[in-house]
Amino acid sequence: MSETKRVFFIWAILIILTVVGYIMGERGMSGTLALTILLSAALIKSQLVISYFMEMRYANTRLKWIPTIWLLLVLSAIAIAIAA
Amino acid sequence: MTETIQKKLPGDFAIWIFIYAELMVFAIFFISYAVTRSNHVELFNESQQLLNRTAGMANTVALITSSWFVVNAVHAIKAGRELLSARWLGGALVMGGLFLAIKIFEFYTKSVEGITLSTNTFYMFYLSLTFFHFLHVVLGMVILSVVLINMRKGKYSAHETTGVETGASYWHMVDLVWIILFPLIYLIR
Repeated sequence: MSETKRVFFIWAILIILTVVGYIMGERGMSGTLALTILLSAALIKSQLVISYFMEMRYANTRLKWIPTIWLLLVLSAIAIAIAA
Repeated sequence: MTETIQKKLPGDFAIWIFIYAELMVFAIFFISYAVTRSNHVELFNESQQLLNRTAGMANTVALITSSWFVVNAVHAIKAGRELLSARWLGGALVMGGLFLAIKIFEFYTKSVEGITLSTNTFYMFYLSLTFFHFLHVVLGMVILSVVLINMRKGKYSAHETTGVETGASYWHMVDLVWIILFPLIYLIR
């Protein structure tokens, strides 16, 4: 797959996950399942942006893991604070 | 491809120090919001219900699309296609402008409804966090505009892409932060 097509597919996945979250919000969904889905969608979307848009997957330095570590720490803290 | 795989972080290294610092600041904001919410769940849920989720969703689409345009701009300049790269950057700026317009509309309607920072804890977070992010969109657009002007002056080519990658990296950070902010403040209840 060409790089142009690949980033187009990434964009499409990001948009689909955004719309899914929006529909859940409009339906006022709450609870553990909704929280899990919304945070998982945020995790997938963010990591796609980090890997494919920020091009961290091409970087060959350990510093490339900082955004991913940041993401995991932030989402874990949010999950703990909200689920508790 | 080998050349691409061999590289370090895209763009100027200094921008990454700035990006990492920004991420830390937003992390503190996000975690503070989540922790404060746990002590005021009902208030947060009631206030959140009054937010314009459609505007929030439209803004997410605008920023994601803008980021995608910037990726295309970087690919175009790497292929030596300056005019195409400039067009993608212009498109990204238009989407950034759309984001600002929608956000200003949201701020305006909330202000007409009499909502301010002191209305309650939820709105204190909502207004300060989204406004802080808004300022980052403005700064990102200034950076992208400078890149576009330099592009027009012929400063970039297939062999000189650092400036474009630097601007792109900052812009993706602004997008990344919003991707967490949107579900956190508008959707999770």
